Amino acid sequence: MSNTIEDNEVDLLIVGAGPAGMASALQARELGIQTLVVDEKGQPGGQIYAGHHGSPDFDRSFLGKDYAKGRSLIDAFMASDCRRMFKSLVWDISQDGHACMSDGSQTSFVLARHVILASGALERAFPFEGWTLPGVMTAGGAQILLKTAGIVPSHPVVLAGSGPLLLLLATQFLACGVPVSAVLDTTPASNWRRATPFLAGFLSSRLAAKGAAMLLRLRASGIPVLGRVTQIRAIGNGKIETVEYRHEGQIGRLQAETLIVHQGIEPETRLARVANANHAWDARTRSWLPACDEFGRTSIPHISVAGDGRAILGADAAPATGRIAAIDAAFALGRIDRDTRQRLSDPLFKELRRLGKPRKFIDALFSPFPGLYDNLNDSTLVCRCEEIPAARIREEARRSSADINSVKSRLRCGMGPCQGRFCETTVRELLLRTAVPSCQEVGQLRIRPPIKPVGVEEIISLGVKEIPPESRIPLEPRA
Amino acid sequence: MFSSLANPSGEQVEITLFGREVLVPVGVTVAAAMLLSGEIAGRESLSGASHGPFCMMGACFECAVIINGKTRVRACMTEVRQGMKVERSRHVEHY
Amino acid sequence: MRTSFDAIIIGAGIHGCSLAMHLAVRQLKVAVFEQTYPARHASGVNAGSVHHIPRLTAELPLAELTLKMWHGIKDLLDGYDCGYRQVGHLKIAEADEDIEPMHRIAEGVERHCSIKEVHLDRQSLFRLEPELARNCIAGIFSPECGYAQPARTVHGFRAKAERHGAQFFNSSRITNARRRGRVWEVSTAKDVFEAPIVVNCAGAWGEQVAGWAGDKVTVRPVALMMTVLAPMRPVMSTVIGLTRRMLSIKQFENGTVVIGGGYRGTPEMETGHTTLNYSKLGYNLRAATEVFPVLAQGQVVRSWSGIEGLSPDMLSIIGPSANEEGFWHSFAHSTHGFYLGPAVGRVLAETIVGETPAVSLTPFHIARFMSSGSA
Repeated sequence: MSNTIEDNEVDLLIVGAGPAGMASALQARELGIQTLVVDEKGQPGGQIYAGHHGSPDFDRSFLGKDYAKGRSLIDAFMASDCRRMFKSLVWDISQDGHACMSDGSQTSFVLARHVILASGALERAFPFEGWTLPGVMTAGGAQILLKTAGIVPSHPVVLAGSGPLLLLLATQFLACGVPVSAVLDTTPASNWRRATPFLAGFLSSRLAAKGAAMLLRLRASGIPVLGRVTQIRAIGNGKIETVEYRHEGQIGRLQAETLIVHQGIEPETRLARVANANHAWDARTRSWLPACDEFGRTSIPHISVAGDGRAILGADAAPATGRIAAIDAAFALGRIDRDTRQRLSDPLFKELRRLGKPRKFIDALFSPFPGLYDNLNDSTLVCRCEEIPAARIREEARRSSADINSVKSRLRCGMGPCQGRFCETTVRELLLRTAVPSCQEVGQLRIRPPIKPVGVEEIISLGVKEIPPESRIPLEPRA
Repeated sequence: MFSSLANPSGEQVEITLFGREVLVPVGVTVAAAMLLSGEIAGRESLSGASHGPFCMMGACFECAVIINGKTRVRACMTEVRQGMKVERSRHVEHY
Repeated sequence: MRTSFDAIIIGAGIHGCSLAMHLAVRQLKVAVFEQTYPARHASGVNAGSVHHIPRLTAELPLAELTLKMWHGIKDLLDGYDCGYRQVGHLKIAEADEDIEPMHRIAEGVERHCSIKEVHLDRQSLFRLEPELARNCIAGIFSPECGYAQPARTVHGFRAKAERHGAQFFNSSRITNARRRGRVWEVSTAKDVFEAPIVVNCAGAWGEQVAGWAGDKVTVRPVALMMTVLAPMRPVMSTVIGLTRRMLSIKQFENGTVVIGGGYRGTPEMETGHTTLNYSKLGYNLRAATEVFPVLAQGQVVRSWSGIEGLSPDMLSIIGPSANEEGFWHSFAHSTHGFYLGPAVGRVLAETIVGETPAVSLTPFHIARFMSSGSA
């Protein structure tokens, strides 16, 4: 079956060309489904495999085997005859399958019979005093710089937070000669206790060996790795100059021009939300996940989710969830029957179960712990766009509604261009701690289109040019 | 400061960054070019504080600058081009 | 044991909260039940315009009273200004043929109320708003008008109502109300509450509520679309409307620009979700850039619509039930509701407690839809 797209209609629209989206597209083409993949970035690979097709060229081998693995998936995806649109943002999806996408200067409509959202993950927001100072950067951000452009700090850096990515970045920095002053691990003892019951599943996996190797390499390098660190602060005038922290009862200080922070990642669900798909609270990861069946089908029958945008399972599991969603899309489109769907999906479900085993340990060890949001200073900015400090959110929670949308409409947190990407989790955690209640009562931010800002002229281009009849209403006062 | 692992004799482009001409590797983003040139902030927040590249994946909008006259462009999502003019973003002064 | 109140209000939009405040300061024990949270729909997400043109003639006495109340909103709400700014409202003629209808509107208003209007020729129009497109040729300026922040306004009324003892029940959808003797029993999924007075402030959901008192009226839900642009340098100083086309534009102090005008998306009553209609929204933004060309360089941060209810004759439904004692209405404000909120709450409170109302509510009674032949 051909893959030409006529009249802006398509069988399957896949949003995101990371591992889940790419695998989805390959699977869909294997099943003969006309497929369009759209990604906001200029190259395939998502964040995890960013840079494989990038320039400038440099030796990327020190990034490790897991990164190198992405190459074959990217090559297969680029060789496939699915249609690809890069540098294009899908900024609204309606319940009837209309998607609006912008290439930065022009917006077009696509009517998709089925949609797979493979929009990946975001860094979990982790506010602390001084986190808005220039020079403070997320670990994901530092890694993207490294992978896409080979750009690294040439001065001593401090890494702080919790999660596998932080360790990975530290070893990658080590491998390419970046001076690391210290790794400040904020993972609390309570998380180790929560994770221990799942240790067996982890130890039997490849991830255990990888983690141990990373730790050994760091220890051998002599870089101080401090555990159970609390009270991170960034201090400086107009940019970060000093990192302050608490370790074993003592306040420590390090000079740093760059502080790299990380507290795990969360699914990016804004498109699923803008389409009004149901979400469910996941107590284990303390996040709202798109409610879906085992195939990734959401409450809206023609919208599915895959990869980290469905639930954080990592890059190894993402292709399997992507393939499952594509197989299910073929079923939804009437191309395969129920039995075929099951037969094709079963090996993938099996693979997911295998990959899921070590996950419980990792999720528990690096789950967002209470200390992240308990000890926030009143003056610390929670919303970076609108500069709303913690005190105002606490005050609002005490005297008014705890619904996060009500708080948004009063305080404007979540109304800036990032639409809550870096404040929603914090606002929710503060509301839960100050006033109330259940996560159900706090709810999720209602996401308004466009999910990222779009030029006025682009939206004008979607409009009718003639005056609609309803705009000719008589305006004289009537009796 | 930040430095590049790429071959120093690789192809470069010249851009005007916050009023000065700088040479940066072909193919990098404006945010990467900023960091390579020692500019870690390009935006003024509502209160006038300096903010700079933070997430590098187009989500936080902290790296918004003015590129060739167009305001609120995310430096981390924009590739450098020969002759590009990049200016600081100052809250509402510019549209 | 059942909880009883003097008055139960269904709906915590601008009208439910304003009425709660005006009843609470009159010493009534008030409860407000809200199916989600206060100001969830049109009350919280409208464009915040505070102006009296265009209004239906029957509304003008209320419009006049309400404008005076807006001027004193900070005193009324004990120092909370609701973001109200008296920047004036400017109605613009884009072409010669607009001038005559524009003047007719102004004359109609002048006949029925005393709100001041100034006729502007081309020169004074551009002195007031220098960034207007050159094709704008005249205007009517109402210096007493302006805008407010909708969500904050609802909060202001609610907070004062609470200070005077009113109780708010969020996430508490009323499922039924029925009369037993002189008392109304009002039920949520979990509890039953009672009061001699029940007021329907349920907006687009008011049709069903009215049915509990045997009052029949068809309310059409609509979702008016709004768009907000990222902060821009100061472009305009007044609240802008057009004569020939639907359009409303204003710029807030933080530089954001809100564009509306009454273009409709699609409401979904069950979930409260709304879907935007981009062919209309695109037209709406085009109209805005045709009045202020510089807006074409703006960026849309978000668009949305909130659900509100239209009555069959586009006039609010305010006043007593046509069938049942102790049951009152203030709903289906037909896209005019935010501005009227302060006064409608007051006049209805006066009526309910038996004071002489500042303005007669007779033209707004629901009975107008139920007399013979007019339903």
